[in-house]
Amino acid sequence: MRLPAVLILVAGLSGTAFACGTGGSQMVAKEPTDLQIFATLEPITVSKPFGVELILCGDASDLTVKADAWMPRHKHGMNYAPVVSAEGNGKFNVSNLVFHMPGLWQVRIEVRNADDAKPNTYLLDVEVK
Amino acid sequence: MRQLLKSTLAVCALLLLAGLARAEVILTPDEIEQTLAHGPWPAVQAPDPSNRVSGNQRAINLGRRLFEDPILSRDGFMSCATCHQPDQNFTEGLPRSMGRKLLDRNTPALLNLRAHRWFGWGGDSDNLWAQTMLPILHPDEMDNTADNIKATMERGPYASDYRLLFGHAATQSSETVLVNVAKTLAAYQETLMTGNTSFDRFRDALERGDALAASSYPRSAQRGLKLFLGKGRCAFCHSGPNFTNGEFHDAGVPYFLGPGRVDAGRHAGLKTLLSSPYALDGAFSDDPHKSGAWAVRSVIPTHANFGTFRVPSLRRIAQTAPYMHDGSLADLDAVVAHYNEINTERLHADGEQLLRPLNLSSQDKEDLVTFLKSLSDD
Amino acid sequence: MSRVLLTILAFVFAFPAFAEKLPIFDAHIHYSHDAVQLTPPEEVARILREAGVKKALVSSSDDDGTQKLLAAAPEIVVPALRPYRRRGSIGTWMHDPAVVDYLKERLAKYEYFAIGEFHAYGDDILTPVVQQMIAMARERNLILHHHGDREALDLIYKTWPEARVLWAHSGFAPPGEVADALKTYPRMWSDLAFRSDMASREVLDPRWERVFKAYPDRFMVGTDTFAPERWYYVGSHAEYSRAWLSQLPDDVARMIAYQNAEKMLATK
Repeated sequence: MRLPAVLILVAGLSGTAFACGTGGSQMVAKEPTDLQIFATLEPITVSKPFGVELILCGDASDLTVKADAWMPRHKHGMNYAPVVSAEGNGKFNVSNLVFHMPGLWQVRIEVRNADDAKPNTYLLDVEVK
Repeated sequence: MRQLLKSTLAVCALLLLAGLARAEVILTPDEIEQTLAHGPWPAVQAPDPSNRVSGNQRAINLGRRLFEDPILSRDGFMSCATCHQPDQNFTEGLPRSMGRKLLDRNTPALLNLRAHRWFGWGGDSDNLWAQTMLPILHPDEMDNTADNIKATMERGPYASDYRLLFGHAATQSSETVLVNVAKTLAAYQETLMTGNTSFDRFRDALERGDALAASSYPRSAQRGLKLFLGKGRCAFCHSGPNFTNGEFHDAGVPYFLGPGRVDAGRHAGLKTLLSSPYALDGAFSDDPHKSGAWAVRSVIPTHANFGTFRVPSLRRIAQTAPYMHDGSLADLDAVVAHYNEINTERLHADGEQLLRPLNLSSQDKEDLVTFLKSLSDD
Repeated sequence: MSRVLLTILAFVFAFPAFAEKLPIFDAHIHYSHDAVQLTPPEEVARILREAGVKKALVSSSDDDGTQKLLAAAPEIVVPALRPYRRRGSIGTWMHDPAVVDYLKERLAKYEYFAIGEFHAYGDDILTPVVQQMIAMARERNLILHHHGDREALDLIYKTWPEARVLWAHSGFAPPGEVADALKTYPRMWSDLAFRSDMASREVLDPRWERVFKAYPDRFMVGTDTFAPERWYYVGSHAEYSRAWLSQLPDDVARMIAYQNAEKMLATK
């Protein structure tokens, strides 16, 4: 027996040092916020694992980041739990994302404060051939 | 001057021909892009890092002989090849396999297996050698034990081959010998590949921009391909060069096995997988990096797994009837009819929104079957 | 990853009978026409008893299945009346006036504790058929077992503010949105049928855990036997429920496992 991988990590961070807004696609926040997320996706092949680099711009201290993805037209998600690792200074790597169908996927990044007071979700639409 | 005229005429003829040929490719640019994702073929095949004898010719030879030898069953009753018959594309031609008794599922073809992430209709294993052990030990199939296999490898006709590959069986645990035997069988099965098809030639011609070559792919098959990619919604699951996404879905096929018995599909497969010591994160994998173990570590069990089955490859599909996990559909016409008239009442209202009645015409159905037939080597 | 940290969930997927049986009130069960044909009521009753399902809110398309199962397992079955005869009517029943006659006929003939599970999204609730159905439930003070979105839920409460609503699948909404609905409507309960996100990974999802602890008296579990074969999932589902519930405080686990459903039925 074994466990699905851990997918939530708490980042004990203070501020960001990456060049914000200089690379990646800006994700759309569901709720208005000062924190921005830029996502850089590895090339995607259907049913193969790939990774995403996230750059959090703004106050990224003590945040919990969770990754998921969803096919809105098909109403299903992924079959594997992605792994989120905090690299420091507002950078997170997400691995083991697997889009098992071609079509429109929505990457969902959920960000929470330590006190869970202001959860927010960031979305990015990705069309997979 | 005459030579120049001749050359000019030849070029014009070629251009005309090319123009006509282009007209014979009826796919849109988007469909061409989707088509390219179904190749190239054959795929580049690397050895299996979890199996140290993967790609080893001695192991392949031993695996081939063992595959066809009933010596691996408890009493010589059957071999792997009894159900996976080499002259029938390693299937059996029956709806459900006949082991020591009628089994619950259709014998899957053993083709292009290196491309798989999960093995068996329920995905009981994440690697080929682990999957290969299951029928050897199953009481309704070969019904053998690790101790018997060890005794055979110590003293039987394969003892010297085994020793050359793995050392003396006598010095190894029964479990280790069983795993090693399964690894030789896997090494052999990995070599069972399908070849280039008319679809692949069409796809490759599109990639090269060779309209003339592409135009030799029949129009009916092209129309079928358009349906496959579009209205038929087939390519959502039958994706990639091997025409499968390797995952598990509810195709609307009933899964009762008889009164009081159902085939739980992926739900049961996950039970086996998650309790198996032979998965890719286990000690029997020869891969020090455990590179394929991410899947077993991160797969998510859900209620929707119950009664779902692995999407089969469509390569050489026309030669591997009957179809579906229980072999309940006799031919490709029946498969197309099944999806065309799918009973969505069987599916959860908030489950995957993939399948729906297709409203295909007779011509559509014929075209789709023509396309499916073009996925066999010719 | 340490195997000491195995989730009870993963354990259950491998060994389904490890836990002492916590009684289960399965709040989302169907015994529809095709299931009736394939699995007799006595067999279904045996499945429920063997799974440790002490009570079950049963609704079926058509309703004959519920009545047959009630006769076979009267100590378990809590009958609910589904407003349509075939599952295929899920998206159309609200436009079919014959539904009203069907409801009247069945309500006159049999006793029910709920109307549902019915599927209705957004302003489906405003159609005359659904409005009449709600009026019939109101006359008899029956629970509404509603499968749909928040907009429809809001319209149900606008139509009948004192309704007791069991929100099927918790609307498939994220835990935060479910919490908001529970906060907004004190007479609403939430079933967790066909959801695996509460504990589908390593441990009980912390977001869900917070909501369960904030509203321990409002949730219940359910299998949702939407296809005939899924009756053979009832046992596995009960074990799955026990496994994730065991990660909550005992009193909360008991409430979600069966007490909340009993309280919902007893609430007037």
